[in-house]
Amino acid sequence: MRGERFNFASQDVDKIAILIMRTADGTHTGILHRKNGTLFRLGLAWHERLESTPASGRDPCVIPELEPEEINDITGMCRLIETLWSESGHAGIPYSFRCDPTTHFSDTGDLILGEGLGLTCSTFVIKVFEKAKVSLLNFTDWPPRASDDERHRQLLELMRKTRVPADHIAKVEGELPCIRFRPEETAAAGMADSIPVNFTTAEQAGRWILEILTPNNGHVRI
Amino acid sequence: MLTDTHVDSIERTTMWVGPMQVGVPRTDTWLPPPQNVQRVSETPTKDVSRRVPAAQPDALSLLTMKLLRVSEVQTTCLADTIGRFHASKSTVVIYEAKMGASAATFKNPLQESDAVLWLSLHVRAILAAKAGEMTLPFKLPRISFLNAYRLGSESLKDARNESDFLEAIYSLAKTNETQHATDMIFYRIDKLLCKAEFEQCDGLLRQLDIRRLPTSLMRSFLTITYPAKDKLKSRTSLFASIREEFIRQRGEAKTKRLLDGLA
Repeated sequence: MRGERFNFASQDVDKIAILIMRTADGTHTGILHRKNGTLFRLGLAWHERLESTPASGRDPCVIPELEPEEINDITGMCRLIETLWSESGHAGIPYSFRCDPTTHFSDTGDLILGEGLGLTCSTFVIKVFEKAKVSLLNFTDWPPRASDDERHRQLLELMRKTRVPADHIAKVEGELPCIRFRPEETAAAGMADSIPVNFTTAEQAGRWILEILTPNNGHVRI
Repeated sequence: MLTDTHVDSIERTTMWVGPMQVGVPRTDTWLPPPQNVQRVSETPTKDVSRRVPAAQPDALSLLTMKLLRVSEVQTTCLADTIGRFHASKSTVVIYEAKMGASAATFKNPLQESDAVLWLSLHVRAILAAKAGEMTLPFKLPRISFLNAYRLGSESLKDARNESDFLEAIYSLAKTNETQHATDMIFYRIDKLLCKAEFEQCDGLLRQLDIRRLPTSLMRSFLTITYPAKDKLKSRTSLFASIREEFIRQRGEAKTKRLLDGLA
């Protein structure tokens, strides 16, 4: 793992980075990409709330070491997703915990849910990278964790409070317990010497990121 | 259709001076003026609108072509710009304005405002021409075929053939405008695949001259067509050619990393 790829601010991001920040009660991730010179922040903020806004330059992030061809495709995909999102009148991506292998961004940049119910901020990043054939995490050895079950319960409660449709919540709840790819672990993959990273490596690096992130690095607005 | 109401709202323009001169049409839905520029004066809300009867974009195109001596493609783009103002929904306009920013390749921090300027300039140019003012009050930015693509002109994209599209890509590649080229590739192929026009997409791949592309764009063609690979007959041979070129330029190991998942 290469700690120097973690940055407390994003103003020096040349082309792409993985955002990682603490929120009021957890962590959040997304993609920082430069479009026409301006750094944009693309991510799934919440249920049917894709965010695509100019970045402040103060977002903590990990700048992964990727080949120029990979960067070009990932950033191109970010712009295509943003374009389609705008063209569709900001149609939303549902929020759901289980990362289904059949959920993917299609050749047309649309999200195909397949047998899944939606994405989290973390799986959104994973799927965008996957679309450009860049795998961040090796899912095969990811274990279930009790603390993740607890986090899922908290987020379900938040879904209820924020008036996510009850039938969607019921479906999401029906898939629990499930594996969770924590935002900091997804970001940590960007610090690896080679990707995809396995659970042990991502988990350790994710904890390292959490230790150095202060709680005052912004919130996901819900 | 361009109505007097639209013209009025477009004409309520404030001039600003900053890194470049920008005009921000002032309606309730427009973006706020940029903070790092100094306001110097307001243009009067002249009665240009009263001299301009409502007109169809086609009529405007013809007139603009005559007065501004621009090509058919360019006027189509102008008419299209007007058409986008007709929608006048803030989200649509602001979105299109963003697309316009890339078209005009403004390179200062005022991107959104600049994009609004870029669009408003075109509208005002046509208004001026329509009103019989032979001397335009500003210089009309050149609109090329490439810029029309960047603007997102749907009809224009559909109207052009594969070789025009590819020439545009080669041209961008030559000037190292990889980001724009990637957007064009993704957007164009996205539309073709959405409409299940696999044959046309295949024709595009068949005509592709990879010697005129950097490796990034070669990979973009493979990435965006990957999910439809079974329906694109030419893709297999294209992949082989690209792989060969990658090995030559990037070596075996990098080629393996970059292309293995795209076969």
